Amino acid sequence: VNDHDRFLELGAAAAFDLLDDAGHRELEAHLAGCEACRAACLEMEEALVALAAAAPPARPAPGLRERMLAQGRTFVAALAVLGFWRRAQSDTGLRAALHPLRADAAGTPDAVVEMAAGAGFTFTREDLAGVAAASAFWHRAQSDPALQAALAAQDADAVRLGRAAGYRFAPEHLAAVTAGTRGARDELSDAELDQVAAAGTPLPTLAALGDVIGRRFQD
Amino acid sequence: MAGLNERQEALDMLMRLRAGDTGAMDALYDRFTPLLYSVALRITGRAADAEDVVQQTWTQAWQRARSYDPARGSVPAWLIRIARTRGLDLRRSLAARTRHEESAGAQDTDRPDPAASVAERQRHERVRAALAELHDGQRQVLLLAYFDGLAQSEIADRIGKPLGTVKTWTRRGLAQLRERMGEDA
Repeated sequence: VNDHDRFLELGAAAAFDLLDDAGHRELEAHLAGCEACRAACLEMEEALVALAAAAPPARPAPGLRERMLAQGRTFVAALAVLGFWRRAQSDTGLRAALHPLRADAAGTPDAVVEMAAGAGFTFTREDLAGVAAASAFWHRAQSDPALQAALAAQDADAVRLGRAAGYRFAPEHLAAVTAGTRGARDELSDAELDQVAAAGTPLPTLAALGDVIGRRFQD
Repeated sequence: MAGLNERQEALDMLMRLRAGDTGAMDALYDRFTPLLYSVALRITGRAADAEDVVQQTWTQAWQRARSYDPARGSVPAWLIRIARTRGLDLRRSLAARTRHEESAGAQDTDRPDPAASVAERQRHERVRAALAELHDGQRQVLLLAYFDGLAQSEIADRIGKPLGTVKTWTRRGLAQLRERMGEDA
């Protein structure tokens, strides 16, 4: 077994997720300087796509499709809420437009949704509310070990606990917030999130979110 | 439909999805769910578990679409890797809970679902034919590693060959499979 063959064996093990950290480091160090091995390793990864088709073809029950796509769309919409939020931080035009909304809490959510759509971010008022609630819950959980454990699970448990604590959101709203995409948690201060949570007791409301956005753009 | 075209199309779909196009999400789902589900079913051996795996796979894929890196492999390879990992995780946790021996998924059964499309069956037949051209040891090593998630030392024990042989067969088996499937992989 020559040196390259040995690295290809490491590469094959890596393709099957069988390599430990030390093995990964060794392989990466070699691949960084060996174009031929890197190409061969990528080929092996693609060979696994062929190997996958050795499984007898089968199809899931049709109901799964609607469920999965609905979840996916909610997640994309939640990312759009966060994207719009971030955009609004740096866009003076949006800030100016959002500011007066604060005076009209009842109409705020729809106006925010409409303004976001104009800026290329598509989401519903439910997504706006869900992301706000998930953000507030995420913040609160940072100082509560039990909630934090539930967040780590990121499943129905977190949603149930959130609901019990007065935060109503879908798992995808929370996932978007915690997805490592610089969620709303980076955009709001603790005090602001407390306002979100407090204003809508027992549920943080859309108006509360609009209020926070409004405050945010006062200066 | 397969090979380079499929990889390029899948990459386009993922990029559109990243840009917020949910239509691309439907297209990705429809294109790859049958394969992901087949892998999950082969690994877990139960339809309900396989659906769980598919669900987890897409959830993870939607959430990580932004961090997908084309330099590390194609979109199909990325998706299938997620499904396989989730499937093996689920199988291990079920086995630990029920103290089952390495179970249902392990058999090399071949009973295609009548709902599978012609293209899916044809692809399956091509892969089976390509695998049949490998020698028995190589084929066995690849299938045990892929669908049963066995470590190479476990495979060595299972088939009664030295670890070094298992490593070599894995590498050569993958290379030959790739060669035989060509761009159709």
